[in-house]
Amino acid sequence: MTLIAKGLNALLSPFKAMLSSPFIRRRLLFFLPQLFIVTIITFILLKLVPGDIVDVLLGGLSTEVQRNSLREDLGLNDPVISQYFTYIDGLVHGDLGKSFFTGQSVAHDFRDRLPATLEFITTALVVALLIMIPLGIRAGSPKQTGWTAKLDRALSKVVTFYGLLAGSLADFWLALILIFLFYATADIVPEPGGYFALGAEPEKTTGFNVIDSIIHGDGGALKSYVGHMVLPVATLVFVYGGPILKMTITSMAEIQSSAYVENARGMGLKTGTIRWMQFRNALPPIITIIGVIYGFLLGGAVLVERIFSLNGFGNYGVESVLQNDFLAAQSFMLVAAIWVMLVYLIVDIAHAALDPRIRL
Amino acid sequence: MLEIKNLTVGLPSRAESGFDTMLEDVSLSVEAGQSLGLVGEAGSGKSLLVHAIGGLLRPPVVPIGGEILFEGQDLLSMPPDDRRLILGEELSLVLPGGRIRLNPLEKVGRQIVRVLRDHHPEMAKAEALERAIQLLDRVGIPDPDKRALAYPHELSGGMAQRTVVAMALANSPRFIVADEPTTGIDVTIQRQILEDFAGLIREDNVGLLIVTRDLGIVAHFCDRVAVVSEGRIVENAEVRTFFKEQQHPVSQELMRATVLERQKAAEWSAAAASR
Amino acid sequence: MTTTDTPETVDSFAASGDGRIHGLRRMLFRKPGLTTAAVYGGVGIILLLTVIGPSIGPWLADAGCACGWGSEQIDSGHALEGPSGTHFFGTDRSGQDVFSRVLAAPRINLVIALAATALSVVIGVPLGLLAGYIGGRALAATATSELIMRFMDVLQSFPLFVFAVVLVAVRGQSTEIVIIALTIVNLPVFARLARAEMLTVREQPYADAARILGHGNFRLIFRHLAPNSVASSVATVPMVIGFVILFTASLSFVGAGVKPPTAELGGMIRVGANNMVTGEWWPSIFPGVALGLMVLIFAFAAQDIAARMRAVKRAEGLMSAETSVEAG
Ligand SMILES: Nc1ncnc2c1ncn2[C@@H]1O[C@H](COP(=O)(O)OP(=O)(O)OP(=O)(O)O)[C@@H](O)[C@H]1O
Ligand SMILES: [Mg+2]
Repeated sequence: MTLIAKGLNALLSPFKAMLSSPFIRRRLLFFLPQLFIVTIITFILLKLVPGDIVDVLLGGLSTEVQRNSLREDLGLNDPVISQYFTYIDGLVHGDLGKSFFTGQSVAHDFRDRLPATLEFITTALVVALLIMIPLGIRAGSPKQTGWTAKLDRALSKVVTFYGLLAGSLADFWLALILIFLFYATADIVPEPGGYFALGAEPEKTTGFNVIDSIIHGDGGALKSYVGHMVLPVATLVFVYGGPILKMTITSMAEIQSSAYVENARGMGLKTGTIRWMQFRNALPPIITIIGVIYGFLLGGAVLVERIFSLNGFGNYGVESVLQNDFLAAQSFMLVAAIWVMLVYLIVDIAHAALDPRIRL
Repeated sequence: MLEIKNLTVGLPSRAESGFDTMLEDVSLSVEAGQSLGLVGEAGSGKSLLVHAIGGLLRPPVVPIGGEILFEGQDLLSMPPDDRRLILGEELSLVLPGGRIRLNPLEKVGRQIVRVLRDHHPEMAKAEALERAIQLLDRVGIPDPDKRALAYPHELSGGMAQRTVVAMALANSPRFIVADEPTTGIDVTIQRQILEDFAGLIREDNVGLLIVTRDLGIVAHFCDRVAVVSEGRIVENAEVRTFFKEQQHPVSQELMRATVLERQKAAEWSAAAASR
Repeated sequence: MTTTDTPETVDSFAASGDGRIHGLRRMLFRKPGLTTAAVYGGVGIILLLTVIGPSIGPWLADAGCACGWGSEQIDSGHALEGPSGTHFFGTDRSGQDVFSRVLAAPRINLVIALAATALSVVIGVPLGLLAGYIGGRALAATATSELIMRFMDVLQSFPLFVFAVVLVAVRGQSTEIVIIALTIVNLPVFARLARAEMLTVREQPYADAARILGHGNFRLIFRHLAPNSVASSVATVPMVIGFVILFTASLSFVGAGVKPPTAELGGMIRVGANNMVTGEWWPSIFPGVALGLMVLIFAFAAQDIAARMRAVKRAEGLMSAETSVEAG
């Protein structure tokens, strides 16, 4: 019992230290103003739409009565300032407006799409980390002597080239190539389109496809899901794993030439000890790049979603813009921006947990 | 005990297929219970020699020829894993720079504990920590049990350098190679650390190779002195004879510079007194 | 990067003599190696294509070659045919010659990239320098600085892609709007870099020296601090150019970028996308390869410049990473 308490304490102590850190307090303090600015920008965005927004939203064929009632609904007859407060008030109460395209409330649409997209990008990110971090550690701290030295040098060349290549490929193009190779030519994956084969969807409870498949004991759905997601995940891993790998290598290499790693070698510390020291010191910029990618992907996997006809969050955003459904687009921007800011907040907290110098 | 034979260090030259050498044909030897001071102008290659001993040269700079024998074993040709067992255990390095030598993410006490336990895994953590605190105390850090819990950025430059010395002394090495170990430490503590070294030499028969810019340290604490210039040993003498008369022009120049310093100091105190 | 470490170490020593060097000037002069030559040769080819690319097809036609096609010319009755002597890269579903379109497309992509990058440098760098210089001084100045940076944070937290699509959708699909959207997207990158560097540079000894010599704020910034604070921004330019090229292509891919029938790489990939599923690979593969190559060349250039810059920084001792010898 006390052992568990002790262990928990040890686990939590860096976080406790962190919450008392001035840096984190300042950082948390900034979060609200940032949210505020985000809402102002999304609010203004809608005002930028040229012409009468009501006409744009309703399309050409609308009656005067319809238009007036919508104008009333949106509060467009009020002064701008009170429009903004109405907007905020709605947001606070979870009212993100109504989508004219889907005919549903935007909040409902998001609940429908967000879990699956989160699941998709998280899977891709985890797979990318599992591959790229070990590879990057290896390539970023090559052995200078011994028989593996040559191998390490070759590895770091290959990996460096891959890093450049991954950053240069358009994800949508890579997705097409993969479809051409593995579906059109080799025919080893199911026909692209959707998360599942037609009719294989599990009953919807949480909206997370894997979780739904599992809680309803639907093995067929799970299998179909995995088959359909191999290529989309592979696309994201290849393209967005590149920056992670590159950062791991650069950062590890930089720390390897630091004076304290040299000192540690001079003290005859174990290779494992030194690697660990090196990795911990190399971690902050790696975490940053992971955060940037994770933040970006929620709305940024849109092209891959489109190509594989995944009815995801990013696709919803682009589709609503292309359909002139600006209320939905506005809420999409808001949610995506908040997601990014949350991820960055977590990144900063992680930095502070890792580095005592930042906690000041 | 430590014997360097014809050591040459350099890097592949860009011009021809040869090497640009940065240490050439260096030979030195230091016995147990003896101390050698290594002096020379900036950039002459003193630190390079220390790095070579610790196997810390970084490509493209590589050892090209010669041997570094520690108790008969060649550190240069030894596999890195074997060298690791000697470094920090039997032969310790004190590298210069202070804070930059410490892992910024770890409390200094733990860093010393790592030096102890990486070489002696059987040592209990609590025991190691206690020993780390003793070591901090020994190098003159006040409140050592509190300071052990400090991060490097919370220490002054001098305290950090003393921590580096403490790490080197942790496993009671039989030989110490120290590169400007007391630069940036105030004079009284400097004296205390050097006296500690001297005690180790006298009582425990430890050998010492110390790189310094301060001929005063050489005069007080060394048996022999070697002068490096442009990667070569140009003079290697008993301290007693060296201070009587220097053979090589570079040595004479070093001596003159030191004397000038002293004169200046005298002038300053005179000037201050007359105000 | 590990693979380029060797020349750097040596160079940093060669450069380490003088205390204060203008990073920018230094970085541009260094003996070119084979890869460097290849990289800048590649950049040269892209520039050349920008100038003459769209004319190559017509020239070939004038020279009497059956393979010569205008970039928007339609070979009716020969839609979606594979590569052949008359259509080196085949034709797309509307019968346009993929080869001459691939040659013509870099123009629009590069023009947009250069314009957007230049604009974001011109606006972003001064903003960043200002934020860096005034930050941490008087209260009002610090507040302004913080405000600028927090605004950049917010700007960067927006879903860039949809943000750009919205701008284009709202303001109409035109090259200018695409450029403006991409400028807004990249502005924070340069502001951040310039600020970060200004923060270190203003603490350097020579800045103090200039201050002691009584140089006013203005002179101090423009003569001494700014030239030393823009190196990392300059080094980032090729990377951003590559990024903008990709981004433009992505916009066109969803139909919110360059308007068809203008030859543009992303738009061309879009046209061929559906054929890919049925096995007709040429309308998408060729423009995709061209796109990848273009961006890759800029990525190599970025890496090359970054390596130079690291060498210079190490020599100047501005960088925190200590090499063994410098420390000793
Ligand atoms: N990686 C390297 N590339 C090129 N030259 C190097 C490298 N490492 C060391 N050198 C050269 O080797 C010489 C010796 O350097 P070292 O640091 O050993 O001098 P030092 O005697 O310790 O000087 P100081 O008294 O300033 O500490 C220097 O002239 C330096 O230029
Ligand atoms: Mg030195």
